[in-house]
Amino acid sequence: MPEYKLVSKNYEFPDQRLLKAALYRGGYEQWKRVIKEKTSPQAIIDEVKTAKLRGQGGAGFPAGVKWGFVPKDSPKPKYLCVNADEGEPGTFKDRTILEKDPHLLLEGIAIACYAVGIHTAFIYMRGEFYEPQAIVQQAIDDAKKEGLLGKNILGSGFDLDVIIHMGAGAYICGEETALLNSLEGLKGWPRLKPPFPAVIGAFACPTVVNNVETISCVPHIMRMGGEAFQQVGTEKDGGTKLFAVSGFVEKPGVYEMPLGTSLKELIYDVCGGVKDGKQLKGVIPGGSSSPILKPDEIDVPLEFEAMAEAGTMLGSGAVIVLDETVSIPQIFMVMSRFYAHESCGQCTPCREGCTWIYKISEKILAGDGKPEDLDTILSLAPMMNGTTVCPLGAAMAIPVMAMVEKYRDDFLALMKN
Amino acid sequence: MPEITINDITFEVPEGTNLIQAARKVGIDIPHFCYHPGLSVVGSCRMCQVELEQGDRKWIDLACSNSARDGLIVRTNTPEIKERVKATLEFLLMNHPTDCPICDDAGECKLQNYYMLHGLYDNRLTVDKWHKPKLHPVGPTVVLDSERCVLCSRCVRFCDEIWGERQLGIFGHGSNEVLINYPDKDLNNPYAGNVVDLCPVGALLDRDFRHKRRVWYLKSAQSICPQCSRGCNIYVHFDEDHDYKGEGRRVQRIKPRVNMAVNRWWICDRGRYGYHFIDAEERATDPMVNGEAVDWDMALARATELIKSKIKKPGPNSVAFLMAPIASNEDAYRALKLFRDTLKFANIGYDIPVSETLEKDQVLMTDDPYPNRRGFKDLGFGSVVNPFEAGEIVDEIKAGKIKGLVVSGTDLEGLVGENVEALTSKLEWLIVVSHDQNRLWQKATVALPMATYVEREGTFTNIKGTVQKFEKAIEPIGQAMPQWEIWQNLAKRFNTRWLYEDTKAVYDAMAQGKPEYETLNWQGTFGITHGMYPDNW
Ligand SMILES: Cc1cc2nc3c(=O)[nH]c(=O)nc-3n(C[C@H](O)[C@H](O)[C@H](O)COP(=O)(O)O)c2cc1C
Ligand code: SF4
Ligand code: SF4
Ligand code: FES
Repeated sequence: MPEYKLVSKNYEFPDQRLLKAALYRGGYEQWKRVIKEKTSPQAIIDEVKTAKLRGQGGAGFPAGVKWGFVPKDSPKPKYLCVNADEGEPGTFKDRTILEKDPHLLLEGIAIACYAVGIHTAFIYMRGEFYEPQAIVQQAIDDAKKEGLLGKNILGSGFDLDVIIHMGAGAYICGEETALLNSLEGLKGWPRLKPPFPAVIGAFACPTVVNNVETISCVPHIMRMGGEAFQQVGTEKDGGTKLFAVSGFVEKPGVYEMPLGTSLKELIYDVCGGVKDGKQLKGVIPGGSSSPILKPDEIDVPLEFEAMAEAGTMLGSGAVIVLDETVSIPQIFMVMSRFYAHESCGQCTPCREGCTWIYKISEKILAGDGKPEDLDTILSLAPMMNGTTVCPLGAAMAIPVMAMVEKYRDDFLALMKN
Repeated sequence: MPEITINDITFEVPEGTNLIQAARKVGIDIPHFCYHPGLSVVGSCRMCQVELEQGDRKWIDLACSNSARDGLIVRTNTPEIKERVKATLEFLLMNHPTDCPICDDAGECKLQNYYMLHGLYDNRLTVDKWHKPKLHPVGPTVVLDSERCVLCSRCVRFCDEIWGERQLGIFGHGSNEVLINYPDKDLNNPYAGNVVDLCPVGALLDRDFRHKRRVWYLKSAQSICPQCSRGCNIYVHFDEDHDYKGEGRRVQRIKPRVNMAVNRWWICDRGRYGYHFIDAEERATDPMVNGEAVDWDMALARATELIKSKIKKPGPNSVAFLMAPIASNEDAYRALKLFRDTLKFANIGYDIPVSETLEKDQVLMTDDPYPNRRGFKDLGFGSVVNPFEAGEIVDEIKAGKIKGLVVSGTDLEGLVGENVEALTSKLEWLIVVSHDQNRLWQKATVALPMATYVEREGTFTNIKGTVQKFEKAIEPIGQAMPQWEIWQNLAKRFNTRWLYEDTKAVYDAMAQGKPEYETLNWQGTFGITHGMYPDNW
């Protein structure tokens, strides 16, 4: 299957970040139409539901359903938080939207806010995103000047403020409730759920948290109609997804594919296969939190359900290709070091478990490991999955178990004695 | 009321009761670190995982973040739950220094207790532990051992939520996270000591109690704090048998005793650390006549003579009785019987100003350092009796009209300032009842030593009018005696009609026909309890 470009349609035009160019290529047309036709908010939510648009931040929750959870009669203000934290190792797709087509995101934000009755939207951006910040801020300012955002948009009486909030560089602040705490100026510790953000979110008000890519799909849904959008993808996963392919491939980069495309096709047909004709060792298919696939397991459709059946995750769509030269125990150590460092430290199993496993991995790499260490890992990890406040514990535990189970011999090979 | 089932015990609890609290009602302890009924729920330690079942749904969740609803089934003993609890403990103990032999919390520590109950695994740690600051002074009264901390955030939430100022925080992330002072803050709030009670392990320790006693040697008496008019319920923990460093103190520490109507789970630091007077050097131990230690018989004989020398001639106007409301209701009642009804003193005062008022705050502390002003008022001091203000009595003394003075429980600093001489030089005689050798004691013609609140039983009436009983923990020092007994023994020398066998008899006489006293059940749940204090959540 070839690429199918919706979100990345205008990536090839270097001037797309300018409002004039975006308008020339059809930017804000759906937003203007919604305003002009006074489309009912419910109709937009229904369209997004029909489109089977699922969260592109990793968890894959249906976006329209999430919007529907926001109480309609709340006397409190409501907020949208666009998750632009993009911290998952291997993931670099949201950045392309922010840099190459910021007005697409802003149009999506406007339509989403209109649908849910929101007048303040925050873009929570990864702390290191200096350039995207400047680009998106310029886009906001321009759109405001043009009357597409701000007060009384296009004479409709609808107000919308869009505010960029820069994070401070913690991976955990991409988790939606840690993000909300961080936004409020608190320590980025995830909150206990329920209550869910849709009911009690930012500043204790109903809040929708959506990934950059999720929101950027909305104008296309409005343009194509929900049904047509869905049909690009699969029955349960409508539309396309951006895949950030990295590692040992001929043509790494961001590729937009219809949901349901085979992972193997993506790697071999679209990205030109393993670099320098080397043997494939494995693929981490959905960011560092997704369990690794062995070469004979990669012929799976890139779709939430099918990936789950294959024992892994679609996740954020970050495909990391590993060739025969890669040491899995080394990857294991680097990954567990990342989680040990990024665990927010709030809850016991994740805080202590990540470090424990990381320290064992270092020991193994140093040649001091024993086969029992692998058993310890395999008994600790399940106790970090489903036992914690947020899914970070699981995001460490599940891929770790997969590496040990699938590449046990590689670990044993380091235990010479 | 909803009916819930915990481990096959079915019972009713009010809707919304927290599951950890509900389980306690039927004697089941759901293990927990971060949960405390007085603080917000954060659900971070993950110790309290239970299996829940409702209708056809069954799932694992936290007990601390769930509450009772009709038909809910809770299980704490399934293999899966046991495995999770054990794993959580193993994680918590991973970096723990296990220096229990030198830890004051040993015996009261949740980690220790839960390990024996739910852990019992073999150590399989093959990597190094973290090292963190030990012996860090977080504040003037509390010291921190970071390595023992389980990061439950109870202490942080206490400062934030109960005191209202952030003084502690958890910094960093991952497992090298530490609990420490908030930048530029000291743990110096007037309730700081509560974090020691809250800390489920030996990370936060009372400097006052540090390395003083193994907690299992402590005996406990249920008492009432005498340091202000709130009347916080406390435990007095004492031990006279294991004096490691020859400090000779009998009372080892004060701990809060839960009373939801009075102090909830807390006490202030003034109450917590203000017990040292009990075993202080300045304690009055023997009756004195003109500065010479004597026995009770001689002292009371002399006091009787002195009073008799004035009471007929020049008459009741020439004598006065001042009693500070640090005394119990029984003391006050018996004193009134003597000075008002038998001796018919014309001048009786109790509303003695204090030398420093307390800083009243939003938590517990009132501005009145006397525990029983309300009790005195309720008993008719100052109203039925000659409505003399204490201040007027002093004026009368200075004017030379009052020649003999009986004072109990105060050195009158709040009334006469530093200069006692100006007062005592006008008197022909002065009788003093006190637990310490205060400056009046030195000047007294007759000085009589009284027992402190831990050396006897009695009742105080707090600022809201609640009558509360305190138990005896230890024997009075030297020849000291409960104040009411001093008055009764003196009264015997004036052929009194009112003789009481014990404190309870005084109380019963006082309570007769007065509903505000009858609500107190003297027997109650009282009785000396040993070992750990039961209100430790
Ligand atoms: C540890 C952790 C990190 C996360 N980081 C991100 C992130 O960087 N960007 C993102 O969009 N979602 C991230 N998520 C997922 C969010 O919690 C949330 O599900 C998502 O923002 C919802 O948006 P969506 O439904 O549009 O995907 C993360 C989740 C976890 C547990
Ligand atoms: S699972 Fe890890 S990151 Fe998530 S709340 Fe717990 S300690 Fe923090
Ligand atoms: S010091 Fe004690 S109360 Fe405070 S976080 Fe650590 S374990 Fe909890
Ligand atoms: S007591 Fe429930 S998570 Fe700590």
